[in-house]
Amino acid sequence: MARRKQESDGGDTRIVVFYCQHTVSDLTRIDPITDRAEGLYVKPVMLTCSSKIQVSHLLAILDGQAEGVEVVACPKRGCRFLTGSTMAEKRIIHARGLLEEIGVSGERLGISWKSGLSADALVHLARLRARAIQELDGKEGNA
Amino acid sequence: MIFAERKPIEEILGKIEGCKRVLIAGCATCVAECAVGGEAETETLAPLLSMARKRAGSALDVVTRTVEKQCEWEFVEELADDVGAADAVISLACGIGVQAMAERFLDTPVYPGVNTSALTMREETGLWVSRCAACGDCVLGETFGLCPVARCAKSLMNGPCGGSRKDGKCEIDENLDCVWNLIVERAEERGQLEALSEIRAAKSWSNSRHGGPKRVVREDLRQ
Repeated sequence: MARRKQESDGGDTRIVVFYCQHTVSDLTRIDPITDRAEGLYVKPVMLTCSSKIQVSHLLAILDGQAEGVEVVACPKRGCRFLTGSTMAEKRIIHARGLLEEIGVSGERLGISWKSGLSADALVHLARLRARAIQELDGKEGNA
Repeated sequence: MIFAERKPIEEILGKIEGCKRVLIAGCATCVAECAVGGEAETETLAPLLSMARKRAGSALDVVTRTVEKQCEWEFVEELADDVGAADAVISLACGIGVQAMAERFLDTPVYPGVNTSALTMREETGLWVSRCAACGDCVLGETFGLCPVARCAKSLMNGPCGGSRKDGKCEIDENLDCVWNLIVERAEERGQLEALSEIRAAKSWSNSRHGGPKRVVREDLRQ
């Protein structure tokens, strides 16, 4: 069972979730959580638009702050900024390519297109990303 | 603008093997405009190098700094303290900036992080195209403002050649306009097609790169 907590315990798979403010049903701040059972720490970060993410931010997070990043964007045709969700996807693809160049799996970065999400649904997306990364860890070692 | 392209990360890693601390030096002018060597790109390269070295079992301390121009001494000087504390510098500036850094900081190796490849304009977001070859004898006044040196695959002074396609594209790239086709079209639009039939003096290449390294003195500007 997930419990609210501000920081990760050592050994958790840390996932930062960047989500567009328009993807959630409630704009109330979502606090970081730790799920001991799954060894998961999730830090949600709300953005005004998913296109606010930059490749440099994604890579800096992977360089020590977290094992994975999930970007949650609006459905492409539902983006209030028209091209925000598409730009976010392009940045994820570019960042994945750079990671692959140094032998790190691009699976550490993910993107989903959603709307009307609850806090639990957001955490679930992080959980899926964490599971993918936990499978990788045995293969590629720590990034 | 001077256009450059990112070097493979593996090549950069090879240059800084054994270094414990490197400075990634960006330039906020041309290479920032072409999104390869500005502040955003220094901040992108830094975690990549750091991650790669952690995976290799030899941690690397990466410092980033971006100055307005790496081709001007005043701005290069701003980097003195950071260069002094680094084992090596990766410059994301064009070849001019890299050389300025190497000339100013003789005790620290300076490596290029990009390949300088062209003089371009940004035609659209994310699309750069050659517009000038710095040939030293500009013919744009005779070719209706379209450069055959930079924009023709063969740098022909007369055209189109037999390799141009029916749709006005170049034989080497279906996305590349045949510049001589464009020149003819523009001449027709202006009603000056006959101007292209005039015999022109042979182009002088003596002022281009073939003429040797450039050294220009302007006594009116020197102090």
